Amino acid sequence: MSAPPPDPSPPPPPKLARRLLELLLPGDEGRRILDELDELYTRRAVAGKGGRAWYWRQVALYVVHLPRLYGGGTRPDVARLGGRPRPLHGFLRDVRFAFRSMRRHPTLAVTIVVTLGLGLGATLTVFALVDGIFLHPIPVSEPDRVVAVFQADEEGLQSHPHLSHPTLRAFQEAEAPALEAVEGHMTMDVGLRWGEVSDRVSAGFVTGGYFPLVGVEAAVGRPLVPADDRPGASLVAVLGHGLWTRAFGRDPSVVGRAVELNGTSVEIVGVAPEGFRGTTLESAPDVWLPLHRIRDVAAGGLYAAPNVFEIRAFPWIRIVGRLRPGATRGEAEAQLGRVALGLRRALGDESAVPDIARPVRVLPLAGAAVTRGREDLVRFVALLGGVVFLTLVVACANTAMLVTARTWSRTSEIGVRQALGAGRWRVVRQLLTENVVLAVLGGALGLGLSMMALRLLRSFALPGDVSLARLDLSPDARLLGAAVALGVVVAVAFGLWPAIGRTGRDVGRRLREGARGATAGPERSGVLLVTAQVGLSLVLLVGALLFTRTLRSAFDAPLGFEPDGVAALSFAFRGHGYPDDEIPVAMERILADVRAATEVRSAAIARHVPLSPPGLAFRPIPEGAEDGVDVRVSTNVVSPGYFETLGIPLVEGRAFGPGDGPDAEEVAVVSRSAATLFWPRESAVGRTFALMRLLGPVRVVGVVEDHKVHSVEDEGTPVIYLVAAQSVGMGIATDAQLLARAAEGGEYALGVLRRVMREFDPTLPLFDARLVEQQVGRVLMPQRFGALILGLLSAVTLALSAAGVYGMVTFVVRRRTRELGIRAALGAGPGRVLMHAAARTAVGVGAGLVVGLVLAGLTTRFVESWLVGVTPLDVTSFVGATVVLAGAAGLAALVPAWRAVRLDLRRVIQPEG
Amino acid sequence: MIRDHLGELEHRVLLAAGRLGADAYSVPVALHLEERTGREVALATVQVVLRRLEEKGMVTSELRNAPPDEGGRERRYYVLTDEGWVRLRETREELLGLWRGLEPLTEGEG
Repeated sequence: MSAPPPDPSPPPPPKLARRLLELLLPGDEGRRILDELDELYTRRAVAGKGGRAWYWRQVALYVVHLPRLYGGGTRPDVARLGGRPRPLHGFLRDVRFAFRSMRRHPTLAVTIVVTLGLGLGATLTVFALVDGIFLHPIPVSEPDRVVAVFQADEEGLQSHPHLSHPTLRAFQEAEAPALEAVEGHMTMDVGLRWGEVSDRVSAGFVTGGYFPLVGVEAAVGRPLVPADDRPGASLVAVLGHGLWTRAFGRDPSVVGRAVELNGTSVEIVGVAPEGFRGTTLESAPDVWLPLHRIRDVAAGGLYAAPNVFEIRAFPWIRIVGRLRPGATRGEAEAQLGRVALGLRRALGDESAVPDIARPVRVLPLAGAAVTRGREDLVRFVALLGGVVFLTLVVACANTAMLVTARTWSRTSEIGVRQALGAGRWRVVRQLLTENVVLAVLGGALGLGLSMMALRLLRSFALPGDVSLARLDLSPDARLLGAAVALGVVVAVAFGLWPAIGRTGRDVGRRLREGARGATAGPERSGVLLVTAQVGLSLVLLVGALLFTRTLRSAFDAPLGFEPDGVAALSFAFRGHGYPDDEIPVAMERILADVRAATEVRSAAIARHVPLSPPGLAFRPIPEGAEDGVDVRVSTNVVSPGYFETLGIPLVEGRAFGPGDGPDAEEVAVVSRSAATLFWPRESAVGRTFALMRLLGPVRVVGVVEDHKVHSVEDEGTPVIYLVAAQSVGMGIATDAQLLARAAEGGEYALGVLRRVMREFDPTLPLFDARLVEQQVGRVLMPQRFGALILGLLSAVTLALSAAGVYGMVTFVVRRRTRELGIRAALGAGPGRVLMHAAARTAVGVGAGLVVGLVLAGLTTRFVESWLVGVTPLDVTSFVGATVVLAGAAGLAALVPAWRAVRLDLRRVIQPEG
Repeated sequence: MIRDHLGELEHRVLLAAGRLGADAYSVPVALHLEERTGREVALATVQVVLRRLEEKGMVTSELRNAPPDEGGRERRYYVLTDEGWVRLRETREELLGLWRGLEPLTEGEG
């Protein structure tokens, strides 16, 4: 590599670096040193060497050489300085001393740093999660003024986020002075085509004032404006930043071009800013379109109906609002409630206005961002918070003990320094500086661990379908500040008392104490700390074992169907050029091709695969009944071959066959529990029911065995199966799962499915290719997450407790070396010496185990809802945790205690010096 | 009097300062060392060593203004004392004594 050319007029040295040096090098001498450095910098730069990096390196070297530059030794050369020594010098000297001291006793220092790092890392991770989910999940302008409008359900508890279009209009036009804007939005999957690219994306339909309400500016082009949402306007769309990156390579020229959504041409007018993913956490639109143009894009179904904007019975729009400055949510709620009441009165019949029959709620957007399973999510995060709090307490307790032990073990060193003339507060300052350095290192480690943990967690989803990948979980400056601040607070808080204690006035006593190691104080508090640590660790360990056993039990539980060897592939007909009446024929062709492949035993197309989230559900009205049944019954839409493919046994009657076409009588198959629900005393086969009022009767032709439908905890969930060819409008046109069972196994079946679909229509986007046996893992996500977190944290606290016990016994042995040596000299066997070294600690551990068992017994009922096949007081988990913890503590105590046994007697009993 | 042992770096800095004579201050010393040995020595290190040599009495320093064409600002110039020259000579003799007889072994290398 050739040298850079000489630069006749080099740039000046970096300002920040120079300023730093000015602070470090005071007085005239400092100015002279700086001049010389500048001269050398210039001369090197002219010769083509040096540069800004070189200058920064010199700054670093000056920091290192600082004490020596100013005379060296303990007294700075005041004449040279030309003034008083700067406090910064003292601090830097203390820092250097701290590092030197840590090099002398690395074990203790490393233990403190790792302990703090683990505790802080766990805390920071949960802080980031809580922040991402509840505090700042949605990047909108002035988020505390943005609200979501819901309606409460019968019990006034769980809220429904969707309202009808007439209600939205009423809220927009009404007198609600507390709100300066009310807008609507919803999402729907559509097919996107642009040149060669063909994909299935999520489309957000928003009213004209939505983007101004959320206050989001476009990254490229412009956002949607009210004029785009009026009849007669040309159809335009805004791309999401993620889709723009993925499918269009961030090409700015895509603005102004047209893409096809569900076969309709749409002009792109802008790109949303990075990080904006709409106003809920459950959906993240890839493209935004005007709400009132939804009929142009929706390929059939209810959203394409001519009266979709007039039907009150169809709640499909989420409503957001922006509060006027100074207005409160309570005021908005009251005002909108009055509007709803007025509507009800005007319409007369309450049953005609289901979506405003219940009270209106106005919630802050941040907290309302998750709607499905919200209580579950809150509880889960609360549990997580509690667990992490425990970990932090254990970490702090450990740090306290270690810091105290460290200070006490340097009693003689402290005494010597004071005897040589160091002031008391000088020494205290030195000790505190050391603790601050340890804390900063611990905070840095914690931050690093937290970042790694957040990256690992991105592949998980929390209860309520909150995919962590959708959240903005990158640590920010606040997180860093919190880490360092927390670490410093801990270190100073726990370091101050022993520092002051050990630097008392009676220096002579300190020197003697240091030599003999005679005081008892820290031992008592140390034992208390060990008790606390062991107790808390036991609670966490029990939790981890409970979740692990839950997973084992859930994976072993009988599913009611046979997932092994079955593969699934998702695709959609609608929006990709298949009108509804052609879909049954297309399905038959696909299935015929799949079944023709060798080794494929059976195949089917279905709306839902077992262990998927709930979809359509109805309150069917059985033949002979007045009203619908009391529970909502899940409804699946399947082709012939479904039960055979999934191995769901037929109990009565028949399964679907080729004769069940669009023109034949409408038939259904029900699960055993559905049959019992509808007709408790007679056979279901041959009888009819209606899915809801106004729909025709459906005849039951068969009954299948119950199986797990939505979760592993399902017991006897009733299900209705409709024939795909007769129920194309029930969702299978937009979301179909192609299934196949092969003798060769699931991977082989997947390959067949892919090949057949590619040959059938290469432009149909395929996604979510998977083995059905993986569904179980998916559905157990909260339990897996819980097991992972609790497992990690309990491993951390176990290590911390063991370290605490180790440190405690080491401390005791070191301080009571003479006493133990004398005992051994007087004839005590190794066993008795061991006992004396570890007795107090053993008592602490035992007490901790008892406390922990009691605490665990009281607290495990909070996780009962997530346990499967295991009770909260599961004996195996409790006993297992106790054994593991006792074993670890025993080992941790044994190592240093053994050292006590092998003490060299003569060295120990001799007087000091 | 127990003589201070001259460390390797001190030896080199002393040599450079001696060669530069009355114009020796930290910058030309550092540049001279780099030029002659092919290795950069940090300015801070040079300044620290010069200070140490002064404490050991091998150099003295005085404040003088630089020539006008070099900025005219105050600099600290160093000059070797008699003690410094004596130590330099002695160190050289010590090293030469250690080298005696080894020259044939190092020929043909480098």
